[in-house]
Amino acid sequence: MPKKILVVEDDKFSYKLYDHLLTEAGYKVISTPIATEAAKLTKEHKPDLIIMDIMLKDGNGFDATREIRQDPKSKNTPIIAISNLGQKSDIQEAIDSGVNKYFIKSNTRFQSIIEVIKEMIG
Amino acid sequence: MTKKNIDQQILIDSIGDGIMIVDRKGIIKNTNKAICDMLGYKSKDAMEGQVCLVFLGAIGEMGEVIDKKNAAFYRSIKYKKSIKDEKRQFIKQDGTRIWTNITTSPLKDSNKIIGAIIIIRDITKAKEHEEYHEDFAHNASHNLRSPIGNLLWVTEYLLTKKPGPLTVKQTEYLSDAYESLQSMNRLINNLLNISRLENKKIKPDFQKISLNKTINDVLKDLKFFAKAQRITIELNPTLKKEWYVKADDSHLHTIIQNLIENALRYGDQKTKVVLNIKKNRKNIIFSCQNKGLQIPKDKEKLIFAKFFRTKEAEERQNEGTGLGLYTSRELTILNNGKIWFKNTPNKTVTFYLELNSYN
Repeated sequence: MPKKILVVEDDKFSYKLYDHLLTEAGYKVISTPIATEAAKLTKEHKPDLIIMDIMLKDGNGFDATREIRQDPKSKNTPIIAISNLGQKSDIQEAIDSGVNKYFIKSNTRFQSIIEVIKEMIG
Repeated sequence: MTKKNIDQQILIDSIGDGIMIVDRKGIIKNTNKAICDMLGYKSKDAMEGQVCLVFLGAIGEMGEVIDKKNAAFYRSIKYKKSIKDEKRQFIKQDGTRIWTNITTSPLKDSNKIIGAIIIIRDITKAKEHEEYHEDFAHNASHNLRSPIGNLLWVTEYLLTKKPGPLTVKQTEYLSDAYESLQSMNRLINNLLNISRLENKKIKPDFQKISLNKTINDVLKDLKFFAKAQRITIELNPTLKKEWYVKADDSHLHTIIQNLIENALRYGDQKTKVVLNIKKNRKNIIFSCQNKGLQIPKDKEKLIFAKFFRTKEAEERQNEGTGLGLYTSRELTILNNGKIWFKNTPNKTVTFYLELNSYN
């Protein structure tokens, strides 16, 4: 059974890329562009890992992460934030909200992200 | 009150800036009307006799609580000199906050320092303006980085040849496109760093950082650029050992990236860029040497200046911005390090970065 990854991303182009590149790397991808749906989908699909954008049209990845962390079942699900926000305060807020790793998208090669995912969930 | 005292009080009450006189312990001894108005106090009596730091809830620019150690008036008294243009937030009587610019000077009585005079100017409006620009830079950088990030990933993916084979020409064009995108991304990062450095918004987060890992991460990013420039990167055997420095992770990445990118940009084709690390007492020195353009003697002092590029560098490479070395120097200073260069033998130039080693 392939490992499941929930992608919370509202940029169409980015989502298409995640879907393609993660599928090719052997993962099953579930996705939503809606921040407030992230916790619900986590409950429903029990993903092995979550990729979280930060600036989303209906909210933000910080609140979505906090909501996911409130549920004991997804308290320890690895969450990787990938965003183009790069200030220390953004990174700190993401970590404080429960994100495990933070990447500034344009400063990170996609291959590095795949390597981190493999390290985290195999 | 004597006639002289009354005249003095009239004088300080007539000044438009807020004035506060404190004793050596920071207890407010005298104020003027402007500061009462600024902070929303109806009378001077409500302020006088209070310990100014606690009473006014002073906060510095980085959000730090101002205590006796970092209080401007206290440093004025301790070092017997004026402290100018420090920015502080104070709590107003109605609970809101006000941004101020303060200048303090020691107050002398018969050559004995008895306290300090603090001049306070309301800069809340200017600060709001500054914050608006910061928000703008914050959002603009996000919006600029988003499409670049996507394009970098697509190009990276195509270059892996997983989606299908590429001809030699296609690979070459895509590599060029990838490099241009990375170059644009570095430019945005440098511009953002400069804007934040100049607004004193960057504070290093000192950690134990593996210099080797940072170098390797940078080399992965610059792989295509080195190939396009037809320059090989040689790692001195010293890089096989693990070297730890005390620095901010992202600042160190930017500095190393700028130095290596510079060496690749201005190095001659079919030459080497040589990276080395050595220890100097308690410090670690990273060096990056390239063969090619040397720095003219009369331009040596300008090499780290903002937007500066030598005429020779401009002729050779149109893509440089003159921001990389400036940003690197500013970030190095912030990380308690040193950065310098030397024209070295055989038409080489070597840049050095010295940082505190992490024990």
